[in-house]
Amino acid sequence: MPTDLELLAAIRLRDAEALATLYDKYGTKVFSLSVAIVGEGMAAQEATQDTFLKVWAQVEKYRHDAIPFSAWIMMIARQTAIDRLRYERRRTDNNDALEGEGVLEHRDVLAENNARWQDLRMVLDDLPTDQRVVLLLAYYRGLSQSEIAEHLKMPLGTVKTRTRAALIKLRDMLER
Amino acid sequence: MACEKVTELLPEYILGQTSAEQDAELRAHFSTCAACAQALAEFVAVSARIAQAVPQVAPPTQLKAALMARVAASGAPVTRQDVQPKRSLSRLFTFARLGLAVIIGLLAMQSVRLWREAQTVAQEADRQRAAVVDISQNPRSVALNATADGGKSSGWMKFSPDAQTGVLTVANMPALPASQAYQLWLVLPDGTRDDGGVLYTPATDGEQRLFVINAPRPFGAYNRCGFSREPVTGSPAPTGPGILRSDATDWAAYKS
Ligand SMILES: [Zn+2]
Repeated sequence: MPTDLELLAAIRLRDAEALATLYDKYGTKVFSLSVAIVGEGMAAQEATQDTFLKVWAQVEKYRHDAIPFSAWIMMIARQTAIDRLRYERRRTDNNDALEGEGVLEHRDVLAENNARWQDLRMVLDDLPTDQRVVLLLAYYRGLSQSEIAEHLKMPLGTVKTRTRAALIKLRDMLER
Repeated sequence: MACEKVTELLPEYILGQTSAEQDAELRAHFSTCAACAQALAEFVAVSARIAQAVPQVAPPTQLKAALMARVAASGAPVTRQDVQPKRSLSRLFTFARLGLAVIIGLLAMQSVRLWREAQTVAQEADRQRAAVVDISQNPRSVALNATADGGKSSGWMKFSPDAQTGVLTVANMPALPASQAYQLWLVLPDGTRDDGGVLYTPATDGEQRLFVINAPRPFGAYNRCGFSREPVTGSPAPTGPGILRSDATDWAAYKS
């Protein structure tokens, strides 16, 4: 199995087979995140395709010395799915989908047979609920801090503090 | 922007909640401040873990085919930045002079399927590009391998034995200070070395480059090639250690 850097080098040379191999490696991760953000259906499939097309078109922007590719592609995947979500939201003018905990419930369905996910869920579940909700709305719903403040009817300063506390806590847990 | 402010904004930055102006200032800071860049890396790792904190669902099988169809339809966009050599040398073809279709054909050599498509396109190129198109009609690939001084570098030389124009791709050559360069040599069976017309100074490890080589003689005259480390102005003959080179083979004997 070629390394990510080898695949990216081939993609820079416009080798479509290398992109296909990269899809084999990251397709499930990208699709799963897309589903978590935009829901099941065509939107998640299109967001997944768009993510890999961005890798194909923007491979020169990736700096391997800055972040691992596995993190980079997931950042693209998240941004792509959130752009899609915002677009759908504007189109349907529907703000009902802003449920923070809904993401967690949705995930629980498949949690049983996925050891890796069990591990990660424990990480997120270790956060106090108020911090977790703020993080979920920001990460999986792409809300700005002022949108979160409005949605949760709390001061902006509180949102800032909780976001920061949540990420720092996760960082410290990952380091252990 | 001061480190204190950067630290404060990091969580918002990771979640995409900062403004475009803030993003620009933050990126400028990360490029000069190792401590904040390290802090950023830690939060990037957190973000990557959150990204996977969802149930893993396999995508529908037809999604891959749909994606690859869109990739093929995207026409393999190639920008000048993709392929531009670090500096222009008189013997180096500039890509501006080559048709985009030909470049795509050359770039796609490592993918057989794309390569066949590119050949069709290449046949439409005009006579001015005949030398380059030659490669597509009688292609030969020679692998370049790293020496003990070559780190993880690798490369391919693609040419047609009768033509004097070839294409060289290299990857992962160790970074060099600005005072030095890797110089390409084309070697005849009797050991005579022709200057390959490439002086390349990678600024970072892990770079990928493509060079169009305009050789002093038809490629079939040579039996190997390689890079040595030289002063940035180049040398009339190799003086520094070999970095990346091919084994000796008969380049005139084309095998399909
Ligand atoms: Zn700093």
